[in-house]
Amino acid sequence: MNISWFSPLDAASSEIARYSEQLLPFLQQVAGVAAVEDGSGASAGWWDPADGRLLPEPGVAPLPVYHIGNNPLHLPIYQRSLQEPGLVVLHDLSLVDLARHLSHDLEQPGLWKDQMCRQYGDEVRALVNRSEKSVADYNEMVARYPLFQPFVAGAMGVVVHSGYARDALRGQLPTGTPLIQLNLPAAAPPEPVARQRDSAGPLRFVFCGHVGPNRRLVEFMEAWSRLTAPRQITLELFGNISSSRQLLQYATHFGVADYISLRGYVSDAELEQALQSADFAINLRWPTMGEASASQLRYWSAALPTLVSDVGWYAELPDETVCKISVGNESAQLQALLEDALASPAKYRQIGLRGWQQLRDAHSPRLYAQELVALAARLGAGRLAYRMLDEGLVTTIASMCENETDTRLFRDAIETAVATVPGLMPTPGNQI
Amino acid sequence: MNVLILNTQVPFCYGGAEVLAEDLRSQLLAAGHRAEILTLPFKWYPQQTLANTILAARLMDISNFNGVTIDRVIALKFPMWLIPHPEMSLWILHQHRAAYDLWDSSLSDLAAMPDGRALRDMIRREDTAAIQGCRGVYTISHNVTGRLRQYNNIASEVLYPPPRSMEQFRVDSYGDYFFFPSRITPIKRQELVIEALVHVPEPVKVVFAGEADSPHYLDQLKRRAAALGVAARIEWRGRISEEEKFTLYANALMVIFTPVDEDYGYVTPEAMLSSKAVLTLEDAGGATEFIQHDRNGLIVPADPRAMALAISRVWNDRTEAQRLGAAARQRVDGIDLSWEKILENLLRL
Repeated sequence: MNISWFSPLDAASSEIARYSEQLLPFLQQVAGVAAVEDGSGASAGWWDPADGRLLPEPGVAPLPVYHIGNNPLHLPIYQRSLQEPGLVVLHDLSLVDLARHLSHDLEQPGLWKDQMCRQYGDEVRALVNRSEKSVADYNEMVARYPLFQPFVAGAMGVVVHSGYARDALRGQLPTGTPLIQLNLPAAAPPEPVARQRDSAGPLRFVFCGHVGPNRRLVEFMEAWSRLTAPRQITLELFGNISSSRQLLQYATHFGVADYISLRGYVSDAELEQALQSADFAINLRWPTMGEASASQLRYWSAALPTLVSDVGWYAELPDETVCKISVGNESAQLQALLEDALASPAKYRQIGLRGWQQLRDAHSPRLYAQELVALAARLGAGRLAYRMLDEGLVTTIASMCENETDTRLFRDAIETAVATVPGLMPTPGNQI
Repeated sequence: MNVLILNTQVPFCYGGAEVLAEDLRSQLLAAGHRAEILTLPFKWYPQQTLANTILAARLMDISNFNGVTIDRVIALKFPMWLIPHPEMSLWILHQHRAAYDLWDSSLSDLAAMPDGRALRDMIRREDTAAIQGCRGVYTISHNVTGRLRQYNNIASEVLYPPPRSMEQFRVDSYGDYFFFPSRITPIKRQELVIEALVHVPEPVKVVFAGEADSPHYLDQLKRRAAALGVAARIEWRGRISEEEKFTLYANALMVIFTPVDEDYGYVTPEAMLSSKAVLTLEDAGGATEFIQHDRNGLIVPADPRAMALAISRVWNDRTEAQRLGAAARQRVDGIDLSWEKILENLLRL
């Protein structure tokens, strides 16, 4: 089985690229990798094609595996997927941002709205229109009406990383299209980080990623401010902190600004070091885009207990591996948990440890690679990578027909075509 | 009887298949039938074209023209036997080998196509169904018959095609050159002979005759010969006339013929009719059907050094060339290469 791997490639700025970088060595143990590129033809600096081991499979094109996520890095990948059918790995369930970029690229500003209405009916149009002006409406749209259909409509098979996404896609794919759920993979270190808290020091929290309203940091700070001694907690922020000005205003308002440090983008090694010396991670999300969090796997890798919202993929995690905060009662639950964590830190170190075990046992890249390749092989066995019969044949016949009656003149040709190429099914492009 | 001979046409390519079709037509006319050769262009790449060509063959109607009924068709090559006709005989020169015996070799362009495997399977299915429906199934060699049995599970009989103008082949001498008449193409392995010459210390000369499938490949061979320092020992004659062919056979010391699993190969019986032994290879297919090693020819492994040893041996012992050549003539005289037998079978109901 040979595959072509279409994924973002800059591991420093994309979790999906980082996932690809980690997974490729395992994939190469069970399949030949014909190409690793971003859909526009650019190949990964970290992947040396010379390392690729193509398996002898004459007369069978490599099966493309397309990674689709909700940002413009995936646009060339999606466009490539329209040329040749393949396996789609869906990293986000709501792809509305990708759809908006596509609309912009095609100079059809209303396209993404039409796509929303095609998937959910015209009754969502008002909400879709409002979502352009109101964050609350945007959040509601993303949470209640995740846009994915146009991006999986041509897929031969789909892989998702959560039961939430699997349930949403069920019944939405063409009949017979395989849909499987695999746990997002990441390699666990052989031993968990040994973490002993300095009883005299503060409880150190970390946050990684984009500081946006759905990351619930304001709600966290509000709960934090209600502690008897807020100084017992510190918070370090890593990643995209470009929109942190408003956050700091909130921090000042809640009286916790002195305990927050903005670290921004740092090297991988520096981030690892920070995670290993922290006591807690914050990974709250509401609304959720619905899919698995690569950041969560990173926190587990460092055996960090993590605060997560009890929604989407996070709600599916075993209770003993994360600290789930319900969306409806967020502030009170957060406060209670912070107080408990300050009083009984060892209890939460155990949660971090079980998170590491969960990563080791349920998110193995080796198993993921095996299952993904097994699905790819199943899909590859029954497909044609390219049309065998020239579209010109159909176009020529169509150009000779003025009405449906005329097409009967070519019944022999059409029946012969269907009999000659097994599996030739009429598609919107080749119907007469 | 109105007989159509169905053959493919690759423009500007002329070889054994065209010779056979023309000879068959001449013999049918001589036997009192009306006969014509009907060809379809055959282009086997890219895969869409190949698929469309198969479909086109399936859609043809050749039952009658202008009120003239076609009583019998004789199909020679793929995909011509896919054209429907109730009275079809086959005299199979070869199938689309890229989908069969060449599939696992580096010579199958089909295997390099994105959906080559699916197309290969389709060709095999279509072939099997069409050939099973034919009146009589004949091939030009045991090699082709063997492949048909192996890949399609269909039995067939062998009718060896007689070389054109058989009576004109003669022997004049056992001269100072080895003769290799064939299309210049990788599947005939002229390159192997060039490589063998490097290991031949004697001043042996090889005369290649035949058109190149592609000028680029011919240039490549010439550059290879120059690089190996044997260019001066090779003569490239290109396409030659029938007269030149008889003369080159008649005066050669020996004939070399090294195809990859050849279907039949006129070269072998032509050389034998000229009382010349053939040096061929163990994997040369139909070429080996007439030859018995050391009795009327030489069969060696497909290896330049093994070929070089055989070439030196014959060069250094001309009586050996004569002995093997005489036995070759005796052997070919014992084979029934008659058109009467062929027509009788192909036209039998």
